[in-house]
Amino acid sequence: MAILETVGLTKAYGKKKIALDDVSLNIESGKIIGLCGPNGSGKTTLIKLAAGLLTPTAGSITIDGMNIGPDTKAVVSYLPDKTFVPEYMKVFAIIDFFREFYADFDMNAAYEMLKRLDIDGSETFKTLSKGTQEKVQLVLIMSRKAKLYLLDEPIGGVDPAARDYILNTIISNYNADSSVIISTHLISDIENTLDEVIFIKYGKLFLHSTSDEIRETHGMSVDAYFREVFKC
Amino acid sequence: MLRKVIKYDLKTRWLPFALIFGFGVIIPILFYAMTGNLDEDLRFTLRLLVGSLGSMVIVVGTFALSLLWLDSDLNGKTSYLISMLPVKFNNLLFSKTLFFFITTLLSFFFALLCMSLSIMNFTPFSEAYNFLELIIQSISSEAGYFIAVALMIRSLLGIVSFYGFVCAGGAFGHLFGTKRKVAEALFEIAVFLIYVLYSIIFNGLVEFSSSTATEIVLYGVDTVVAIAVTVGFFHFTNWVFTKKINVL
Repeated sequence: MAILETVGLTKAYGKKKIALDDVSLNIESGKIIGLCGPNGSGKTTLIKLAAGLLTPTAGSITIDGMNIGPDTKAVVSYLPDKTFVPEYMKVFAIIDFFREFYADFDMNAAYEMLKRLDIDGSETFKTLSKGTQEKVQLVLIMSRKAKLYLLDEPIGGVDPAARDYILNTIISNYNADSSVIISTHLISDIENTLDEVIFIKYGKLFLHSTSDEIRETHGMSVDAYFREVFKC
Repeated sequence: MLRKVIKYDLKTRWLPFALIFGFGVIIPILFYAMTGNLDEDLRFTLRLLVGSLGSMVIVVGTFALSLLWLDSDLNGKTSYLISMLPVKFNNLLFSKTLFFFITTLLSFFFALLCMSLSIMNFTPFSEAYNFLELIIQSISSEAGYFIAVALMIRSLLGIVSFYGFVCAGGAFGHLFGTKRKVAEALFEIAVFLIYVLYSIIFNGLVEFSSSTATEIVLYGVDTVVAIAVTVGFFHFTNWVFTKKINVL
């Protein structure tokens, strides 16, 4: 069964702005998928629809065969592109909060990642640097044993040295039954980890293919192909 | 779920409430100690003033903080986290409303305590009991008791209704994408104006009513309207968050 399936998925903001237009997708378990497209192409909208933060204007979206709701939120681990943790909370308190609400949250994994990233859990979230805040949010999301991880720009704000660790964290923390969808502009950094790639252009699905297929068919890397497709 | 949500709110939001309640108790005591040497009339007037102001700050501060946080959870900074939780929204809404309702009730208790501490004369509790006695005396007659209970129920309903109003405002904002804050503000202004108009009409009807029985019927109708509007607010909020959610 597909972990994520969309049929004719459309999302419009008001009457004029169509963020996502008739997108039909089928994503299987056990894959790492890159969701790529220029700014305003509809990547975040697609991820938010899957996370249950938006409702579609038309079409349908299911996760693990279920309509979006509390049941899908229990199996989806979503990292937004903005700060979602209340700034006044301490890191340990946030971890405790996640443990309380998500049955699949692994406390030990969270502590282990904090330790490896050298983050002091007794600090208040707002006192941390922007990069460290992003790392804490990623730790929270990747400490869950979810079926689907939705990561919206997970490496955008961190330094290149931390990027490798974060990507390794993503790869090593998801299991064979789950899938990871990563939305990013930094394709070259994650290209080698991607099984499949989705290109979205002006809200429409432009391409859904394996990374290997792109390299074989077009004779170039995914990053180079992205630059060619979306060049201004 | 109720326990989890209330536990989370309690753990993360207890401090500002504790500060408000704490100051509400400490300031009258300090003021009591500081005004010991003043003329008796002046002393009593000042203490009464501090007690009244302190009580007002406790109730208004708690209520305002509750409304701000409720709005933030539905349409503000913490709405992302709240919307990501694997819980049924009506449970979440009920838990949050209950939590803030309890804090508001606590604020009434602390306001009363603040007032009592402010006007005590010699020992901390003797006059406080006298103050409470005054209230008890005033409701000791059958009519007084009935009016007191009716007023209390109406006030509590008013508080819950106000929470519903803020929730509905936040929910209304979700229907308007990037203009959600403007939509929320317009909704709240519109509902407030409707409420003012309703109050003017209602008070006019009460004033021109010919008998006590008519007045009772009018108050009954008013209570039914308040209940219906409150239920409507919460239903609307639940509908938006389950069918039309739009967290930007």
